[in-house]
Amino acid sequence: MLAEKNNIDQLFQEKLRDYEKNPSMFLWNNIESKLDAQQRTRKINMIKGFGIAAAIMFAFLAGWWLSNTTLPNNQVENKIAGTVIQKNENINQTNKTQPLNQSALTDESANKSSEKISAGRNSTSGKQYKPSISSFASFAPSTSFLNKRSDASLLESKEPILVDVEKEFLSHFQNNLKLIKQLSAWVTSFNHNLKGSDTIQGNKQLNQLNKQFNSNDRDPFAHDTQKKSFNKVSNWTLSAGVAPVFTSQKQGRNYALGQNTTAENAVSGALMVGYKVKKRIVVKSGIIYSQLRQVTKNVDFSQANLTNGLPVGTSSAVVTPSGNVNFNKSIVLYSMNGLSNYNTSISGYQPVLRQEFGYIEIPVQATYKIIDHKFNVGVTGGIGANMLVGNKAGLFENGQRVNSGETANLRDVTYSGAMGLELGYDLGSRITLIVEPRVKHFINSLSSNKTVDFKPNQLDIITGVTYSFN
Amino acid sequence: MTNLEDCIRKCSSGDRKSQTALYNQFASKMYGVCLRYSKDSTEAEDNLQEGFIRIFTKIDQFGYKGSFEGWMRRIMVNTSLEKFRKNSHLYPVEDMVIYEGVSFAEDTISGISAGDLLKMVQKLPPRYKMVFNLYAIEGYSHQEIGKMMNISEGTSKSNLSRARVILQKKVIEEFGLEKNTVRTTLC
Repeated sequence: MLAEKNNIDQLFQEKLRDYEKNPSMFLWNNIESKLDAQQRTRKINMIKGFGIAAAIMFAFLAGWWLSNTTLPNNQVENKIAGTVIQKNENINQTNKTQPLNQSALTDESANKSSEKISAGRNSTSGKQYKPSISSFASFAPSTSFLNKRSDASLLESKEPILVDVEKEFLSHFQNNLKLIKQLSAWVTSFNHNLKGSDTIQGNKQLNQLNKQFNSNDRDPFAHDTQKKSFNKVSNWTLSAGVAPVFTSQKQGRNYALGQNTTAENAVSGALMVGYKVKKRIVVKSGIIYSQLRQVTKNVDFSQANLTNGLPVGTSSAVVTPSGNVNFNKSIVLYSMNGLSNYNTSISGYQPVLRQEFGYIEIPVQATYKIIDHKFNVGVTGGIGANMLVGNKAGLFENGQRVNSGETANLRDVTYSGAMGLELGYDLGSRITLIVEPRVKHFINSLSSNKTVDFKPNQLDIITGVTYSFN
Repeated sequence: MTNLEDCIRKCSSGDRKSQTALYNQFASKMYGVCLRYSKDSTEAEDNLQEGFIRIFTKIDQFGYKGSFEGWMRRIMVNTSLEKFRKNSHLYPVEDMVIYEGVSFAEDTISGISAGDLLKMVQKLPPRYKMVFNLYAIEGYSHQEIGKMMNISEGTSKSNLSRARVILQKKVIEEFGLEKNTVRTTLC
């Protein structure tokens, strides 16, 4: 191969093999912002992954919970018996007049213990007793509250509240046992009757006992739970609305002469969940998507790497009040007057820079209702975490996009404070038409660049409806 | 070398300071590579930017076995090649030409600057430019170039001849006559 090399190859190889030249000084900014964007994408993907994992975990737990609440009766039975045994010692100490047969309940095996309850009861009567399936099954559902919570925690915890719950359960259990006792007595007499007395009357008695037993079968806490959950649900509200967003901002540093950056109106959308903690106080949170837009005229290409003649140079960045905008491609600049105003084409059009930032805000707000009638008025205040979800910049010439890029060094998360009014008009018992003018101020700068102080103020007027679950 | 290795390891964990240091150390060299494969500085900067992003993304794949600079250089060349491949359907395949080699006087060579030669290379048609760079400057064989550019070995040779003819003509026009003519073709 070397033999094939000739003089012209050598000439170029010697001169160009180790040729070096410094690239445009703002190229590193471009690379940095691209790397940041990649990192952000990775973070978002990670958050998505966690979200999916959490959803799967939630679905799994929900499935597990549901399957546990619908355990076959014999399994539930075992758990109950086991729980009773564990707590029995405490109860023995406090109440020695316990109607249960203690010798039966001290057995280690839960399954056996339920049998021994019967066996023990038999032994007191001194007669054979076959446990009735319906009698055990009937009190099993009444213990469903135990399954909704961790059985292990109930067994291990010695907190008073749990002991109270179990005491209450035990009193219910004792009622059932009284019936079992009656049933047992009846079975004994029934066995005697079978030998020569009326079977029909025996069946009637059995039906009556079953009815009595089933009436006692309900969960002693079911009523309270339903009542509580009903009250809980009635306090919740769901609001949805859209809003025009007006933004103002101050310019924190000096820019090129004639450069003019102004904020443009944008839109936002909100989905909020509220909870009425008191009659007039509602706490709200949710998701608000909002945009910030700004337009720069007489774009400052002062970093242009100037050379003689036309084109005058190239640039890959523009300075704005929100920080440097780095473009995906370098821009070739032309000067019409030989001065510092550059155009992006020889045709002489002045380029316009448009920037757009998208944020998802997760606010925590409290509203106090001053007037709470058909027409209601409240004052609202709160804070929010704003996550950057969109960062676009475009350079337009005569309405045509000639380059695109993004604003460098924007923070992924910023914090804001907001206050405003909530005006509502009840359209029915559940639906309220709302108008919420809100002023929002970014507490920290949107840019991580210390020389850029970009803390815009926003006014958004959310218009929508609120649905109350009452 | 140890410092460079430390820097590379920190870069692979995403340390921005180390990335900046690495960029500052190699940007000018890599820009020199990109300039040879591009038609102008704008295209070269685009390739340099893309190349460095790839370097930082794949830096954990560097095995510390060879030269890191060589590894970076290959990434820059591959980035330029990929861009070429995307547009390769736009470039026609030329027939084989006969190239008559020349040798230049030493004083003529010393009077030619690298910048002048770079401009000549940049003005070559895209395919000739790629083949000339890969063969004459990087040292790849025609077989390797054929595979890299998805062309035949013969096409690679032909393109190299064309490139040499054009470059030689330019050098003679701008910097003076050759000392003597080499009689053979080279491909």
